[in-house]
Amino acid sequence: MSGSKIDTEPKGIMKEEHFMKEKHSMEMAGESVLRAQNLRKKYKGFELSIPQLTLPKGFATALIGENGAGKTTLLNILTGIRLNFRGEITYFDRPGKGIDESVQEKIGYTGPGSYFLPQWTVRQVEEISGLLFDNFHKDRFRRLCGDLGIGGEPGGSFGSLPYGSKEVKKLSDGNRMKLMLAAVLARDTELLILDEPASPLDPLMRDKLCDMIREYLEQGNGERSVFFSTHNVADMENVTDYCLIMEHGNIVEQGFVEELKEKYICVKGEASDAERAGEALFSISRSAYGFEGICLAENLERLVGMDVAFETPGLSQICVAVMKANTSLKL
Amino acid sequence: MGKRVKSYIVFTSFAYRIVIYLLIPAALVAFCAWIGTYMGDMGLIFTVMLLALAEIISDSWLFGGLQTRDAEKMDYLKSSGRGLSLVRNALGLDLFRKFLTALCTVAASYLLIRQVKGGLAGRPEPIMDFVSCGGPLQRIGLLAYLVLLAYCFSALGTFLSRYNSTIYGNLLLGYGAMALACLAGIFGPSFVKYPSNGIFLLDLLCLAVGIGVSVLTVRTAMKKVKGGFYDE
Repeated sequence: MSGSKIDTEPKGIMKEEHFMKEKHSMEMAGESVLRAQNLRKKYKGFELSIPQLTLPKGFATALIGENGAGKTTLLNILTGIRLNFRGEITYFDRPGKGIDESVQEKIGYTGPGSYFLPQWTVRQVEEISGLLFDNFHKDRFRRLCGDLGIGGEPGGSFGSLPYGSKEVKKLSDGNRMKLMLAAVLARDTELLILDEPASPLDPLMRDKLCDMIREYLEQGNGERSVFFSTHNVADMENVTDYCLIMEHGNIVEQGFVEELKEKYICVKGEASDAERAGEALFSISRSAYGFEGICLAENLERLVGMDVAFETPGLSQICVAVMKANTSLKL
Repeated sequence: MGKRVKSYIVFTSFAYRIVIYLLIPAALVAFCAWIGTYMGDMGLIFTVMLLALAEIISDSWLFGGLQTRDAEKMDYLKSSGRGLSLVRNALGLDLFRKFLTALCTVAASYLLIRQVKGGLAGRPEPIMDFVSCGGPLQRIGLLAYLVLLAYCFSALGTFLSRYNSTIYGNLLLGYGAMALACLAGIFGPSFVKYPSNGIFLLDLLCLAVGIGVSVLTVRTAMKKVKGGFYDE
């Protein structure tokens, strides 16, 4: 193995303009779509405690963490569907506290579990959305339903369901998620908060989801932002600009993806060096043939003299390393 | 008002509207008129009983299980500032619709039974003719009693049925409501003459119960929906 640093292309396609946008934003620290301070919530032995949370404006932010880390609780609080918490949240740099109808009008939220009533039909979802939100566009909703293959055939040709007649409970998990996405994307919003949007989707649709998020951001000219939780880090990496990693109700790591990729380095080496390298590595996986781990860039000098190779880690590798370092699970 | 009605209508599917607004009332009126040909005004009590049953069962289609512990959280509605008022409107107008259905169904059944009682069965006199036994005012009082009775049992049964999320639970409650409605329906006419105009006291009692149950139904459901914001 050579001891030189090997730069690899990051996973996914990071467009150059996207890159520039990130750097520009990093210089313009302070522009945020949402700020929260001293968020606290206790619930059945679980405690969410986030002293400071800032979501950069104009970017896609991923919320990553193991099951039960508090991701859904956090998203519910930010969306205004959980009100029993302590702390302050400022939306869209708008003075005043809390969430109200005008703020909710600008936020599109999709969530797991009981989101729509199961007996609603797709057409009812369309009608109800029109009553709930001023900025809902029926035409756009129908087009999205058509594009995503849900809601039956417009016009209702023989042998097919008439448009909108299918009930939510009869949709698969994936199609239900598509319906949620169609409902929020049919509105003129400034912030999308998506709880696990990728989980029920097939690989093709996950790719489409990334396209949709990217398109949503691009159409917003820096005024639109997306905040989503995900376990499918690898699939969503190419659309992730900023990342928050949660464990036990706390945010344990955050930053722009490119910053994190400079902060953490992937290290590979021979099995004989595993013991010594392990002392310097943030996390390590051993096998009979060697080891692979994540090292903080500031600790790289501790590996001098070892026969190791360096690579730029993927976001997924960084997340797993951070989660391993903070988990209470015995792995 | 238009928006309020719309906020209720959107909770109901097209199939629900056809069945609940048209088919069930029409079927009930036809069935009770047929009963009326043999049993006279007794057909009206069948209207009350079956209407209560139909309303309780059909509610599982609309707000079924709303007050259960693991009720649907309705996150989509809660993500809008108008979600709660939309639900409140829908709950209130659903009760108003139940009242209108009771009024129209009982009135239509009465008018039809008047035309057919005894006639179709070829009998000279119907078996029970209790509505016609009083004066015109008492007749109205008795019909109002039957309308209010149908509404009260529909609303009360609906309220109770929302604590369970199975159709079987609704069926069971529906049968209970039918039995009680039958007893109350038979018991009511005896008040037409003794005490004098006692039927109007029953009307007032049913009105009070109806209003109370309506308030209770909306408040309890809204408390449950609002509780969703607080992990309740």
